[in-house]
Amino acid sequence: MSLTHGILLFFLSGFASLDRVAGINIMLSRPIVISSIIGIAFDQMLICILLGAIFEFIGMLEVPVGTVILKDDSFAGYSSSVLISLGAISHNNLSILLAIILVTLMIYPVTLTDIYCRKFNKLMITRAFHENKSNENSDSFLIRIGLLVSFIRGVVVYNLATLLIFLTLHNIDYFEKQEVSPIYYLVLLFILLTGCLFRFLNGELFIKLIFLIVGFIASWVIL
Amino acid sequence: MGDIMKLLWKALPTLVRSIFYQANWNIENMQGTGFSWLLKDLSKRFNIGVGDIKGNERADYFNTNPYFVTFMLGMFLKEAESGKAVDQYKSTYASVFGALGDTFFWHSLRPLTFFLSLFIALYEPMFAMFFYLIFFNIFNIGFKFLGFYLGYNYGTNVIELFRTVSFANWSNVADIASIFFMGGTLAITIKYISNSEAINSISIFKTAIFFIAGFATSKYVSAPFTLIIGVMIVTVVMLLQNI
Repeated sequence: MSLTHGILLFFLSGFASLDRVAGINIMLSRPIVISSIIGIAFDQMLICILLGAIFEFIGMLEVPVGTVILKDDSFAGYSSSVLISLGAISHNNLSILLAIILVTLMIYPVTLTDIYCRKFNKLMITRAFHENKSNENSDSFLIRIGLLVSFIRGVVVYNLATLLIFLTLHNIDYFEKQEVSPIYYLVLLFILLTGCLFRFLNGELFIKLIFLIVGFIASWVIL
Repeated sequence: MGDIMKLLWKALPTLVRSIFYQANWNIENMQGTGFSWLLKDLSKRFNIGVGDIKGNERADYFNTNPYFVTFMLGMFLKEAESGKAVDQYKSTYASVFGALGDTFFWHSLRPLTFFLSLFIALYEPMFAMFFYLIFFNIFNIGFKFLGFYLGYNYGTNVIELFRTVSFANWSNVADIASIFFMGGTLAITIKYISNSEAINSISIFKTAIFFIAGFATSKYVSAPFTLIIGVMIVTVVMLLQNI
């Protein structure tokens, strides 16, 4: 990837988020458009358009009515096209299908950041009310900060999530060749899920932590 | 014509601003901050008391379709100039425009633009993106500018205009057109693309099965999960082909 490609992706991710969250609304954020731009830049036109078209359907099946926050299909179009353009998805059937599943799942945490953006905006407006700022400069500031946050969200979240999928695909490909025992990954998943359950169970965090550590040490020593 | 241009030219900075008015969209007052910001700007440019009227408070709830906000601005300007209390209509009109805009722009125009673009993409991929942006934004910019003029010209009677032009039916027409191009896109995909050297041919029977599978699953699960289920079905098909 050249510097020009990097700059293009930087601005494209930022403006895609801006277009869908904060304003402009010229449809630059549509997966089919984002994917086409990336396809042209990386000379992967046909496959990028097809990926964009697939994720476009997700957006078309939902309508943003009232407070509904749509699944971030812009990210999906961006991410899948970047992954294929950077060679993270090998041109075999399973690799691209796995990538689609990973990108689709990643839509959920990415959409969550959209919700956090709205909450941040709420925080800003609530603070402005408390400080009793009601002049036009304050309004302009709120609008500007909203635009900036949306842009930064696109650049940071879209690219971080894409990187995460890139690494996952890369690792799956790597470990497939290494022939590591699947038990290794199952144990890692087991540990991760115990963390989830730890949070779910009742009790003060500190007390729970103490019991967890005591149980861990006791079992380690005795058994 | 001269009057329209004069009005639009005077309001141009506010209309340009209107593309950013959603930037503070939040779950407290939705687009209230942005709308208040636009009204203050408009009042300054037209030297009227829009900035003083009730309903211009930033704390006020406001939510409408972003492509219809200029109708509201024009209407507010007209009513404020004639000294009427426009605030009482604010939420009603915002809801009506919201419903009209969401149905037309989000529900119908997006799929129509998409299928038209895809239709073009099958022949010349490069033009598809440009077509998408141009076609959609003709409506976007048209509604922004014409909307302000119509809102100003008709005031609170602007809803009658939508009834006169049967705007509620535009969505139905667009949906039917989308379905027509959907059929066209499928036909071209099966006939030409799937018979290319790059992939094995996809029969009409297989197309029908997948289409019905998509139709059935979309009733029970959300769009992203439909896609995941679709991927799973494709992997099963791949597996069966290799047996």
